[in-house]
Amino acid sequence: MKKRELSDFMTQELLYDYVKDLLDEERKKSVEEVIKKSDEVKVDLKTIESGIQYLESLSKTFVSTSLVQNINRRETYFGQIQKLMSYENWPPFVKWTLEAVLVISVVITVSLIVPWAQFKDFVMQSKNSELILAELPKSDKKSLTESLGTSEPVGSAAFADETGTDQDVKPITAQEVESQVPEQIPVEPPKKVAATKPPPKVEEPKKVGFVYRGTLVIVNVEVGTTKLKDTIVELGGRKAGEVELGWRRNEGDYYFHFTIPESKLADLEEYFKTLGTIKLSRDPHPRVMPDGIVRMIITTEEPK
Amino acid sequence: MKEDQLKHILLFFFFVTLNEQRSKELARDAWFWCLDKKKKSPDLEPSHIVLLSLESCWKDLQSEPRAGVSSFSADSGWLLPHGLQLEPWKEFQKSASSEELFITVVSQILKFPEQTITKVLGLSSGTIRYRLAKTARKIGTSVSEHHGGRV
Repeated sequence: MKKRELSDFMTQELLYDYVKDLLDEERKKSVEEVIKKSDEVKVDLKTIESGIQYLESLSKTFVSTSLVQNINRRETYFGQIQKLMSYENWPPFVKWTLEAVLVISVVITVSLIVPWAQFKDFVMQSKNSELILAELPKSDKKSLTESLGTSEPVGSAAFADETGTDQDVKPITAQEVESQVPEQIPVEPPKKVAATKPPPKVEEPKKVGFVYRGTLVIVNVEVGTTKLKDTIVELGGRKAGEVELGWRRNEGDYYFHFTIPESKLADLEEYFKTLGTIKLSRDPHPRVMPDGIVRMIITTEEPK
Repeated sequence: MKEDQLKHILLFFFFVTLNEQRSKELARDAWFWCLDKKKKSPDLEPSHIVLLSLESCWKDLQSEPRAGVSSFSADSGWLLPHGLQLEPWKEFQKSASSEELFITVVSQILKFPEQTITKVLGLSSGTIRYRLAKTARKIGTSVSEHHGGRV
């Protein structure tokens, strides 16, 4: 009877058993015959032998006694609790929650501890620092503006409201101004205003400023206020501070904070009288205005 | 239960995770599971208990991403044979199926007898040999690529 030969495919399937010596003698000879003939099977055999040899090397990995003893030691109850309490073993959502609670606690604590009232007072105090302008003759305006590094004319500077919220004016201390002003500047005598009725003569202190404050009682104040606003502008008046001329306040009256050429003051006072009853006073103020410019704070209201 | 069985457990988790810390944790859990099992079922063969615990842990491990990158120090307690490279094994870890990886470690590295595996895991000899032949080829190919055929 003719002996049946193994195919290459069948031999490849038997190669692992062949390497492991799990085949009977007859089958082993058959496989060896095919291996001799087929290069493909030879390569496959070499690959399997190489893999098994590598796994044999891995199996020789040694485990140290210290590691075995370390694992073999039963953890104490305290050790198990310690392991559970370890931050690394906590679930992520617990970690995030804890972090969030911590952050919120810190924010609340800080907001409660910090003396906000004092802090606010301190900030407001620093904002309310007085702006003191030096009294200078007109001839030296140019040199002063140049030395201060600003192109804005001194007389056109904007003024803060009496509330003290000054955003446009850069605070300059008197010492700074004095140090930049050349000594012995010839002071021009103030020009006399040719007006029908000159303003009340008050001896002007040279280094103390002033402001005109007044209340104008007008019948139909809304219309009168609009007219007054137009007249102030016509006379060369300019808004000082932040609010516009004729700003309606919460009290129901209208507020005018403006500067005007001193020469137009008499005309303005005359106009006040045409509108209603005016009570005007000249109060001292730390802010010194440039020569020839006066500052006024007028409120208009309905008669009570 | 003897220390040799614990060594088997340590080797198993080392080769399936290649992570020192994780291997220790898993080995500790598996070992104490074995000890408890032995107490409850004293008639069971220790090797059978170990194989059962490895299979159980291995199923649980399937939910974790497979390592691919080794994370262990030279003094970790697992001492590899001198000059042995782990790259072919890492390649095999990536390409092998779960069953192939498990049977290879248990049979070829831990040297559990085929009869024990057959009995405990309920696999036929043919299945085991088929998987081992397949893995031997894969690892052999990987070894050839990395070392030119040298182990």
